[in-house]
Amino acid sequence: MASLKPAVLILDRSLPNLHGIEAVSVVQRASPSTKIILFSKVISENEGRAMLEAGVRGYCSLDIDATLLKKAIIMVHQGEVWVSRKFISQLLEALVSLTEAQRAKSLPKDDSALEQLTPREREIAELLGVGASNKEIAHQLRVAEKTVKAHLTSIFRKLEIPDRLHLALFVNGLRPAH
Amino acid sequence: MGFGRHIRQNRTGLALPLSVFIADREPRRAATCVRLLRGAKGIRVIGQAKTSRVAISGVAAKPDILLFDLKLGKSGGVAPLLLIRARSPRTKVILLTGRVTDTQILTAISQGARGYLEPSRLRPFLIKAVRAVHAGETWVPRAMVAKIIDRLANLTAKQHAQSAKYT
Repeated sequence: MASLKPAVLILDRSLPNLHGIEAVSVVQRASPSTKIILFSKVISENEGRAMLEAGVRGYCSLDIDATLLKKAIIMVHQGEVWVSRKFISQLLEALVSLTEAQRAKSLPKDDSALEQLTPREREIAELLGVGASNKEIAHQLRVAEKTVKAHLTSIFRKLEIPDRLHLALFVNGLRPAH
Repeated sequence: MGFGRHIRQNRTGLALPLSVFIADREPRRAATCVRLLRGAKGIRVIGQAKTSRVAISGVAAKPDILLFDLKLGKSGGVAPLLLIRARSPRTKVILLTGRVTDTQILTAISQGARGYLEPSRLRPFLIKAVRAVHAGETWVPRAMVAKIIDRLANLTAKQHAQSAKYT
């Protein structure tokens, strides 16, 4: 295998002496450009993810139809990934929850920032946080729309926030991840 | 077709239509979406917005599906998605993309968007995508999956590095 350096390798997961991730890393060391498709019976979500993150480009069951296998090989060779539709959903869910976890970690809960605001400013920030427009806020607090705008400018400056959308996120304890 | 079990029912037991909210800055594309969806059985367009603010208040109606223009917000488009998800967690988002980068799409997917449609794919696939995403599937082209995995691998590595730091 190391001397042939195939473009695509179909790897049977049940090969003796070569197990899962180990086998993958052995192949990758021997021939880094080889793309691996795993032949395997049912694969668990965690195992599948670990395999893909380790560099496997696809997997399919042993009884895959020949034309489909051909298609899989071509796709993987072109740099795409061959996994089931259902698995793509699971990947997306994992991505969302990991992103969320990262955001939670990078964001120290900071209520003290809101304390810099005057009670009126805080009121306005909270109304904006539930989606109210300037007009609606003005109506609710019985002040002029211009007054609301002036308060908002002051809030943006104090909290170093660029615009109303970010203020709404801030009030809701959210911040866009990058 | 097996979508039936996903359709919400009201108290009288009649199936409620699948509700769609369209948040799109481009009127022509929004009109195309409305036209296509009007022709589909069991789908109802319940509202439209051209700005992220109107979109955010629009999701108070908790639509099943939100078609969301990634160019809607001033700030890169992704920020409103966070608020929308906080407001209506049950709403599933399909992105309407045009001239946006893969990274922007990927970021929006990381914030919970379940799929995306490029303008040329609206006509043949909009209704299919809406039904599929409503049924819990995703609508992501295969070419994007490799990038999703890369980002996932990156995040996992980051997480491992962080937990190593604390132990």
